[in-house]
Amino acid sequence: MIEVEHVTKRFGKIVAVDDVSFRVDEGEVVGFLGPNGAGKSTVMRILTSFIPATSGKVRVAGFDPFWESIQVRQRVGYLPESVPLYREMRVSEYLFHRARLKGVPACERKRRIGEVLDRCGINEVAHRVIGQLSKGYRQRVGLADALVNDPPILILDEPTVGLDPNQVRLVREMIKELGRRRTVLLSTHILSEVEMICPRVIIISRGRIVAEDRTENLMSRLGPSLEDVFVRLTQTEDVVGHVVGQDARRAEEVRA
Amino acid sequence: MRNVATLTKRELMAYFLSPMAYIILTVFILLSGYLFFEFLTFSRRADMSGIIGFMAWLLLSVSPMLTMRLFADEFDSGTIETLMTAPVTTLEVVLSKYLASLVFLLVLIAPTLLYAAVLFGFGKPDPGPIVAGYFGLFLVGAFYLAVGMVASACVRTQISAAVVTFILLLSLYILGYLVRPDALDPLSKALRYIAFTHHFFGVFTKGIIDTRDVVYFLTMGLFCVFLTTVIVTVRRWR
Repeated sequence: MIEVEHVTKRFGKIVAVDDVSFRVDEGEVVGFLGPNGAGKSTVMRILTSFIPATSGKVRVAGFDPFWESIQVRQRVGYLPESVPLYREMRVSEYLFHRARLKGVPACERKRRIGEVLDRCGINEVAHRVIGQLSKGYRQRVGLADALVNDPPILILDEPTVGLDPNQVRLVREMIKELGRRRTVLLSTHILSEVEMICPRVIIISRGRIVAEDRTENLMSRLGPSLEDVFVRLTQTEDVVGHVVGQDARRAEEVRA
Repeated sequence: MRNVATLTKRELMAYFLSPMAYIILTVFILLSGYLFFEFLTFSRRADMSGIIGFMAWLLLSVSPMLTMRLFADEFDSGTIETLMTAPVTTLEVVLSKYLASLVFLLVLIAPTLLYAAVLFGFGKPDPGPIVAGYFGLFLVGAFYLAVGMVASACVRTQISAAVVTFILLLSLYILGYLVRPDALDPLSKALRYIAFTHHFFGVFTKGIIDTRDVVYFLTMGLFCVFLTTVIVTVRRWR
């Protein structure tokens, strides 16, 4: 469903994503891990046709996000990291607007919105103004928006940030259930979550993929827990960089 | 087309859900109403060329506040990301936003038709200049909004969008007065063509609807729509 081949994205001189290749098959739930600034969001933005890749080939549901962006957008439910919403609108108004925009037929709109409101546990705030909602509710409104047209592919950028443990559990169960019929790519920092819901993970660090495997394989190969795997794969470079930096500073001091 | 309707509806909702819309409406009606009274008692003539000219000037000052939100807010709050990953084209988004601002412009100038009604009720004004004047007022307002939309797509915050728009419009306004109306060298001719003042003041207010002026405003509007589409696309890509 999602194919990424040798994708590079540069912002001026900064290389945000460097020759990344991976694929996500239909019906898979894949965890996309990496430290802050590793390029997770950039990859997700390329997949959702928000930004084009500098080079490389991308296919989402068989379409190119750059040349066939409307086809891609119709099939992808996307929750951006910052969960941008129109603050002045009410939750139900917003979801109605988004459902219309995403081409949910008029006769089904009400039912679909009722479903996502229930599913995301935001029924009680359906008539509240979005700007007045807490982070947890807003996060789930964003999720409801991603689900409203029942897309076959879900791309969720840190869907559980800002949620309390109860809500995290709710969302986790939901993603697990959604993943039975859909293709899901989700990024997160919460590693225990990945262990529970993603059979396969992709770890990205400094714009490059450092590991891609089934979760249990990674753990048996590299460490007792996913946390150890994550730290080992993504931090070594940082630590090295840090040490080199210190040495350089010391050399500087000696010279002075 | 369905997308344009959906998006325009949301834009209008955003307009009328913010206090700004009501403040602008109130200020516009109060000021133009007062000036209408002053013009009328001073000149004692049943004509509207003075007040329509003044309204064009007033629109210049309020339109930056109508367009500042359009794109600057989407970029600032990040909603551009959900908007541009929904199945809509950039052109549809730009057209909808422009359309919504035009609807607001109509809402803004519609109440002032009451002044014309007053004139027709108590005197015998020449309807030609009033009809042409209102048509021109709408065109010149549409021009301000188009320029404002371009500015809003270029900057990050609403305030800077408003300031940039105001400075741009004011410069174009002043430019119109810097060029001598009788100069015949190519530069003056070109500047006179670019400055919107020569296509509105003393033309529409006198009751003249010249196709050249209508074409000027339509071209400018279309050009700004096109420019905004390009800017929004490029800005998203970087």
